[in-house]
Amino acid sequence: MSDPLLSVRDLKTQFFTEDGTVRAVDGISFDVEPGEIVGLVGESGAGKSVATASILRLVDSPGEIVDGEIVFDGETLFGLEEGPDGEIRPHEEMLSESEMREQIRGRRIAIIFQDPMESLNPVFTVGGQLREFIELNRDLSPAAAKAEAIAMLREVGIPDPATRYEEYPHQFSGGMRQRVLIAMALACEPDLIIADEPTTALDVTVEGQILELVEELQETYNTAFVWVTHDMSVVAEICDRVNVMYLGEIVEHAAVDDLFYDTKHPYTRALLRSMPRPDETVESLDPIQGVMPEAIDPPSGCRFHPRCPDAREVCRTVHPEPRPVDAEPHPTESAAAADDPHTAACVKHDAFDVGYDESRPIDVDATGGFDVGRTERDDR
Amino acid sequence: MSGGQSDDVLLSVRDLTTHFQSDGGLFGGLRFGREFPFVHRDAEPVRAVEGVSFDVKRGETLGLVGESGCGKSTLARTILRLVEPTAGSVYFQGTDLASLSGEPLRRTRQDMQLIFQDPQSSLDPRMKVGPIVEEPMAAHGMLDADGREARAKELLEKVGLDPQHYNRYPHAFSGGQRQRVNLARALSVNPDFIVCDEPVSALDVSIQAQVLNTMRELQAEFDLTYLFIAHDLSVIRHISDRVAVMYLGQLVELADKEELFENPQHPYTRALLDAIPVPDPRSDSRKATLSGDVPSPIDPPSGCRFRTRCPSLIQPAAYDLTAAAWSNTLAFQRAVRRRTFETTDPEAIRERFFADDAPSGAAGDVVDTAIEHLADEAWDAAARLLTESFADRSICATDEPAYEVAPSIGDDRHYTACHLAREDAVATGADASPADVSAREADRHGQPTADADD
Repeated sequence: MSDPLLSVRDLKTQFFTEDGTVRAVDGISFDVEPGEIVGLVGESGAGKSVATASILRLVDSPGEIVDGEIVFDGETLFGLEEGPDGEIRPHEEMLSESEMREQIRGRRIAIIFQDPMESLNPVFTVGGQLREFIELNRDLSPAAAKAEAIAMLREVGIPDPATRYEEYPHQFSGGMRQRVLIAMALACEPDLIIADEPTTALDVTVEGQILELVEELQETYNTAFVWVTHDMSVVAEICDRVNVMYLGEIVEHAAVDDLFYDTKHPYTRALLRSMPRPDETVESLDPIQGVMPEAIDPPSGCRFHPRCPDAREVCRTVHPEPRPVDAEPHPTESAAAADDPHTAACVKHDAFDVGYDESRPIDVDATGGFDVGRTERDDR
Repeated sequence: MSGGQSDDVLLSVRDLTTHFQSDGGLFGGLRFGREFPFVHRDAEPVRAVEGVSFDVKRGETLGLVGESGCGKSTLARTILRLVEPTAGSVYFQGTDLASLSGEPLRRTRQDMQLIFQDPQSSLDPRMKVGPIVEEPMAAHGMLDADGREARAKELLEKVGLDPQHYNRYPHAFSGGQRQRVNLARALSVNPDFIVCDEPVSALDVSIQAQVLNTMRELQAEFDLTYLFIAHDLSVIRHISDRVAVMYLGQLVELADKEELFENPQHPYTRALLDAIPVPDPRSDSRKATLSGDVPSPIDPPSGCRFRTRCPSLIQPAAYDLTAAAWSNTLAFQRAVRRRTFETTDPEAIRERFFADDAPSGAAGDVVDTAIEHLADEAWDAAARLLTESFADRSICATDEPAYEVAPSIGDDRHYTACHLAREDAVATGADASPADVSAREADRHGQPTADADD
């Protein structure tokens, strides 16, 4: 297998607040191959958006990337090394802030946000914003940039693009605005697009249009995507491989089919079971107990253990790192899959061998876990 | 439970219409034109809800689904008379709410409660949870202070919170817990009917499932009737007994849940079901997606409001085209109107739109003229010609559809507002109202023509 396009290793991003250190992203590792769509899925507060902001080094104070390595196509976007005096300093090859701005952001890695209205300036025309972006990033003359902008608008399915070019963001519907942002993201033909919940704010029919458009464009341009979402349906629809995040950690990583049909982590399973389905009537939902604790004070051991139906005593103390859990690779899988094993961070699998089977089951809090997390610290 | 028994109907909505005037304020309604007189005032209302009729049976959950801007929330607020209806009536337990005002209306509201989407903004951040739950009881003069506190604590426990949380502020709760506080507040006055406006769409999936389960338990325990509004078809399928689909201010389909999801009749319902991604990577269920945007409710299309986007628009009776020729013509007409292509070369246009089958006869002449217009860059003339010759002459544009078809699952009535059903329909027009009227049965005795439909 060739080198991945993007490689994230042991990334840790923390926020230093008055109440303490929030470990928003706590040691995640994943790869993105050229031209594939990798899902980053989890509930709100799992650290998905902080992880993607870290890739582009867009984390602001009080947040800081404290550890890890991010390599994009041979360039070190973030890295640390030990100096001669033993102090930790940024890696020699790490790109400077201006290099990030001039070479990476927008040009080679683009980002699409959830709310298209907030990403467009309401006092400039849509066309003007797109033209400016193309002009700056591709060194084209204003006239050529305008022609390119109109061509991009047509490419993403905006009717009558020459007229719409002159209009303002408020004159576009939500779906159309999201198309404009996709046009903007694609304008420099980046290698990687980070899509942070791009369809969450849209209606289903519009979401369908956008997913279809992304699949088409991905075929044309062979762009890789990191697709951040909380919606397992969208994951099933569009992703090739999936990373499931819980409380700052990746708890399971698998090809999309394996994730749904050979689920290895109890959290992923619980997430799938708690969803009502559009294609069949589910009589009773099986929700996950309780709520996700805050990342400021994560539970000991496995972070999911207070809500986990399979939790045992050993889960309180042993903190599992993701490990390959497939006993043997599926015969149907391609050779590439052998390099990309299904991993899960759950000690119930044999790969961990920490005495799970002998351990005593824990009663998951019968009150539904309402005392975990934020309410615990309040008004006492 | 089959329809038609008026005694188990809790709420009847009849021809409910809500228009909003857009001419408020000094410059409201001001329009600027390119021709004299340049500035004029027009007071075209926004037709948010138009002619909606349905019944909600006691103890059921009626799901109301539609995309944003289709009028779901306006309908809910009009039913509760938080918004004054422009026309039509709402009968709650037999009383026309539109005829009530002042104190009698206020007292009726005790039986009808509303839960909002955003659990954050619907709770006063400066009030403790206990008083929040007690406030409606105080407003309706229920119990004394101690009694209210006891009931508030009991309700907090019923909705899955700790009664100890009585003295906490809303900020100390997570989104799901706040929605539970909203539930407790709605239940405090012992209502029969709760309108839930997107109650779980702001919540994470796992929390969503917890709240949905609680809502079901409460429904059984307190004998509640829900009107459950959502845009998420999965949630609607889980919680509802019957489902109504809304598009641009009107109901397009209403049927038993299983019937609607397994045997959808209206092209819009089918499009919604096809568009929704399924949480299963092996499923290939998402098919054609709808193109275009929802038209403006200020000037909605005539006849069927969905016709401008409908993939199955019926061809006008004046023409006799093959199915392929008609769908090519329709695609061409829409492409010209929305200007989705650039070329004006007649050959290229023919190649692009009419490669496999071109219309002949009168329809063919119209298409030829339109292509000539395009060659002259006269896009508007071409679009007008095509629209007037084809789209506007379809039955979908000339007649408002209302049909009732025989259900294939269950025995609840299946209403669909689509002319495609005109041949299989068991009732049409006013007889096919989505309402479960027993009056309809009564009327029918005086209308022999209606019997012929059966």
